[in-house]
Amino acid sequence: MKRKILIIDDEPFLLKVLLVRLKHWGYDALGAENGPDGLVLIRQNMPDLIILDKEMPGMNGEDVVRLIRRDPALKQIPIIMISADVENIEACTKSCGIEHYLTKPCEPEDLLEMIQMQFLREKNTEIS
Amino acid sequence: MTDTNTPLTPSDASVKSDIRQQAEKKAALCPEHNICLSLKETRVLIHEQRVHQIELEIQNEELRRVQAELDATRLRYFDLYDLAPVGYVTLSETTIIIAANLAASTLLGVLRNTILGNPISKFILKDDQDTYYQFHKKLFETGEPQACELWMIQNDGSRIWVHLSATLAQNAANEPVCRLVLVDITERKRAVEALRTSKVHLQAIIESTADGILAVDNDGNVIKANSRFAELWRVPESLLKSCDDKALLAFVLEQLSDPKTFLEKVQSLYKSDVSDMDTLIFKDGRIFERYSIPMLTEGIISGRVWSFRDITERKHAQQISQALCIKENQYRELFESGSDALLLIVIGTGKIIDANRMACVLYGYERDELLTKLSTELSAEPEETTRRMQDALNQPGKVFNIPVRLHRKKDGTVFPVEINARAFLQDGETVLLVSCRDITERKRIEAEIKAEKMNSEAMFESSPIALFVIDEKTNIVRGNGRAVDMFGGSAVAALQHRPGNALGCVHSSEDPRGCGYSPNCPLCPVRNGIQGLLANGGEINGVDLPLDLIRDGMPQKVWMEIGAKFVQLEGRRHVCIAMVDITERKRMEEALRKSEERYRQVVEGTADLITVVDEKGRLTFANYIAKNVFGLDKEQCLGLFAIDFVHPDDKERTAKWFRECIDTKTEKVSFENRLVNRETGAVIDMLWTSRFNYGDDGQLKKVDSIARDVTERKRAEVALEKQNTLLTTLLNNLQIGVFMVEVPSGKPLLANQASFNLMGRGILPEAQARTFSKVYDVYKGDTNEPYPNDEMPIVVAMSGVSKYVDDMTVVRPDGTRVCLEVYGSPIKDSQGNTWASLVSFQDITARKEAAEAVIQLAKAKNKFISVVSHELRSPLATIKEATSLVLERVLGPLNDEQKEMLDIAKININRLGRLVNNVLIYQKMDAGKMLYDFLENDVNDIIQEAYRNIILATPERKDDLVINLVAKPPRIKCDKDKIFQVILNLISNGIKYSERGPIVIETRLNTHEIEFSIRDSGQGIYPEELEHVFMPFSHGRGRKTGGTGLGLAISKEIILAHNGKMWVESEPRKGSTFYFTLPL
Repeated sequence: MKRKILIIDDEPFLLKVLLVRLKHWGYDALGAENGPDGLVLIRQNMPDLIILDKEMPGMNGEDVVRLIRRDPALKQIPIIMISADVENIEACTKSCGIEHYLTKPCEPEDLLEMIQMQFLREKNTEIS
Repeated sequence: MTDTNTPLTPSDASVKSDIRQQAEKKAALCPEHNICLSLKETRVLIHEQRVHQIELEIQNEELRRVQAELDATRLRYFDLYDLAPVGYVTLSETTIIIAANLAASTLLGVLRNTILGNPISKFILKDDQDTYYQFHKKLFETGEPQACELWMIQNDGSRIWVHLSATLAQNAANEPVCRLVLVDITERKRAVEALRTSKVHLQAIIESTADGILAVDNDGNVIKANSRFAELWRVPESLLKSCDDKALLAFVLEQLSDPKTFLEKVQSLYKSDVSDMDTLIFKDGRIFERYSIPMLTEGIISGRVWSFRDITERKHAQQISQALCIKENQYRELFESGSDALLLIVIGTGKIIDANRMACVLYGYERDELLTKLSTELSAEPEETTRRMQDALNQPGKVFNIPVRLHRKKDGTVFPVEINARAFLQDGETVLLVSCRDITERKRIEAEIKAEKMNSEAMFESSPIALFVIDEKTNIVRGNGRAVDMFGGSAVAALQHRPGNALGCVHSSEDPRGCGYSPNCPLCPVRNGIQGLLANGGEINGVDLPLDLIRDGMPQKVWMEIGAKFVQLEGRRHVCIAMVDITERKRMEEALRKSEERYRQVVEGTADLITVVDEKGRLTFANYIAKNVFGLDKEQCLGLFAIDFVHPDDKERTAKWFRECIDTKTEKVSFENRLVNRETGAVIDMLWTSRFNYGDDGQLKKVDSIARDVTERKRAEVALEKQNTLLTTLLNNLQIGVFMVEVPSGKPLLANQASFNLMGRGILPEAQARTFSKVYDVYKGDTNEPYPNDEMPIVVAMSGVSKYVDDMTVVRPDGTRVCLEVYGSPIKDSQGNTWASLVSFQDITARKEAAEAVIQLAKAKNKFISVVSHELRSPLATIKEATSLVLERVLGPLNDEQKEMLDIAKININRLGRLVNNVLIYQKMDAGKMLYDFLENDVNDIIQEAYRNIILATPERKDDLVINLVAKPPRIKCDKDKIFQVILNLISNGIKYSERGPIVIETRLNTHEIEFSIRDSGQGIYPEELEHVFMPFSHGRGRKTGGTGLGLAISKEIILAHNGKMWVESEPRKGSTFYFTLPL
């Protein structure tokens, strides 16, 4: 069964190339251009992983994380945060309780490695 | 009574016609008028009528006679009663006056009609009213006539002594009345009193006199002898009382040393009218003066008065009152003729009741006038007089001798008197007989003689000059205290010695016989002088002679001023010598002479003008400088007015100053003015220091002045003033505020215009070191927090330390704020003591604003960089992702050309990514936000790691890399990642800028640091570019490969953060060597 990954990024071009990349890598990829749309898709599709842009107009990445973590049904979904704000991303993920992040522009290999690591851990927890 | 008894005059016509009318009226009423009578009856009736008429006339005549008698009696009565020489008063039993005659009312001094109805007691002296009452009572009780004498008072208050005799009578109402006869006997009483007093006085005089008095009648019988007589002659009272003259004479003769002569004298004097005086000498040594005066009674010799005076003790005593006679006139004569003033004084009141002619003469009063005086009024020592009188009162009978008492004449003159006084009782009062002798002249002579003697003695003794007298043998016979001092303190030792021996003359010890025997003595001027005087008389006045005397065991030259005079004493030739040791004076004179010499040299040698002007301002002295100043020789100046040399413009001011100095009694004062040199016309500024000398009367005597030519100084002052003005102008035109305070008071000394402009205030009186912050409204930075006073540069600088601040805000009085940059500096004197604190400050409001703008700009830049780099990242990420997708052939196969183009795109995307990253890093460093992690590291490890990284990235240049490191270097505290970055960057650059050739990486250990160097053999850097190498975004001219332009800038920042140094050495076309150091 294909793993379902939801990407929320306000940059439509990046969203598009990333969706191509993830599908190329064999994942079931979904995309949303803003937080509210993203949350709707999360509830509809219950993705296995969420790739979330930190800087978005209106509801930003941190707000989305808070809403997901507040929803018991959603709070278990792992999140990878990506950001062009190299200075603040680390502090931001720590305060949100997110383990992984990537800075833009990121190498495709780094992204793949991070996704695989996430799913591997999940598998491990399932086994154990 | 008299009114009703006034007799009518019979011829009074009006009265007569009245009676006639009355008679006619009566007749008309009579009924007989209507009776008709016959002729015969009528004739009888007429006859009867006529007889009756005659009868009536005869009766009438009788009546008139009685009337006339009555009138005569009444007149007689009037004479007897009213004009009687005595007063008649009728009194009721209750003593009310019911009648009084004119004499009585005259006696009492009141009108008769006002006297009636008054009680008689109203006219009787209060003290005597009781007497009168007894008298009145007795009259009414006994009915016997009574008489008494008492004091009555007249209406005007004067007293009259009245004899009263009273008889009892009855008035018309048969009531008992008292008929009183008043006789004024005041005069009689006075006469009696006076007589009595006079007698007592004389008695007292006789008794009080110090003389013994014996009055003997022509038969030699003793008439009177006073107690003093008995006392003097020591006659027992019994003998005196026996009046046995013979016994008395025998007793008297017994005591005399020469009774025979006495007896002869007495006998010869008897019956003669000669007054005589001689001296009796007693066997017991007493000496009496005897006076003998014939006693005259109405011009006939009735006896003789002998008076004796004990003059034994009369050396100092005064002759007591003269002997007296028995009869009043004789007493008076004696009293009056006394050569001494005699006064009779009532002790209790001090009233003078009698005085003799001499007393009048002595005190300068008329006798009547004198008798109104009190004894104290005659005395110039009234208290003493009163006290003495009291003594006399306590010791009656004692004769007091007061050698000296000061009395006062009428004209106020005070003069000395010698007083003898004796108190005695007279009529219940103690009376003092005082005999006074004017001893003015005696006193004066006594005083003069005494003073003269005293003066001479005192002069001789107290003279500061040694005085001594030498006799013919030139021995000292007398010397005063000073002379004795000079002789070595012993009068005994000096007397009967020659002066040389006494004075301790050196030459006197040269011969055992002493003074006068030495071979030197013939030359002795003292000896020769004395001998000359002894031989020829005369005197020698003050000669200064040096004597060789032994003083304190040492021969010394002693200067003596010697004067000598020949004197004849007790018939012998003497010389009186006066000697003054003037050694000290000589020494002083010498010193003075030297001092004067010095003074003269000072005066003449000084460069200052020295002048003396008199009280009018005329020059009385000037030193030689006068020539330079006044243009006249110093002698020419004398007598000229100093003011005439003063510059015309200063004349008034100088004259005023001179006057003020005198008016205020100024003594020392300085003054400046200008003088004009008469020779050259030059104007000279002079500074005078003058001393005004005043005499005891406060008048100016002279003015001593020292004046200095201060023209040069004045010039310098003017120059200084100019400079000062320049500085002041400069200071006030300076746009920097300057404010200076005194240390340690903190009192503001100076504030320039700019400081006023900046602070909006100048020097405020309340400004003090502790209050600057408050007084000038100073705040810290932009806050409203008052600037801590102790941190203010002006306060800090007061302690000698400079301080700079730029965070001071002053709120001006108008409310505007100004930011100030303030430098505080201590101002020190040559000893390094801070005496003032100075602050200079300027408005940095604009600069602060500019700095703020810069900060804002930097912030904006950072924000911009941040935003730009972030905004670049997102599209960069998209391009990169898209490119990667194509290159990975995810979207289908690529031909070689397509792949090559996309590879180029990918390289540049990566480069852009690095650029964005470096921009962010540099911006972070620039903002000081880069965090370092200093830990101990082995630098060789870091280099090796970089080397490995480079080889991985550029394996083709592996062989060119040469590493030459210090073995086992000390571990260094550094941020490993950052240093790694620097090394990596430098090696990359070396590779980048050299196509081939070695890249040498070396380390070197210096004393305090490790030096790293990375040398390439590339194109090198042109000298003009060397300084820009480490600037951001600068690239070498021959750049080939794209760098960010930030690598070296970032590297240098990192090294500087490690307190290291970084530099480059380069030669174009030969290569560059980059160095950096890290401290150990």
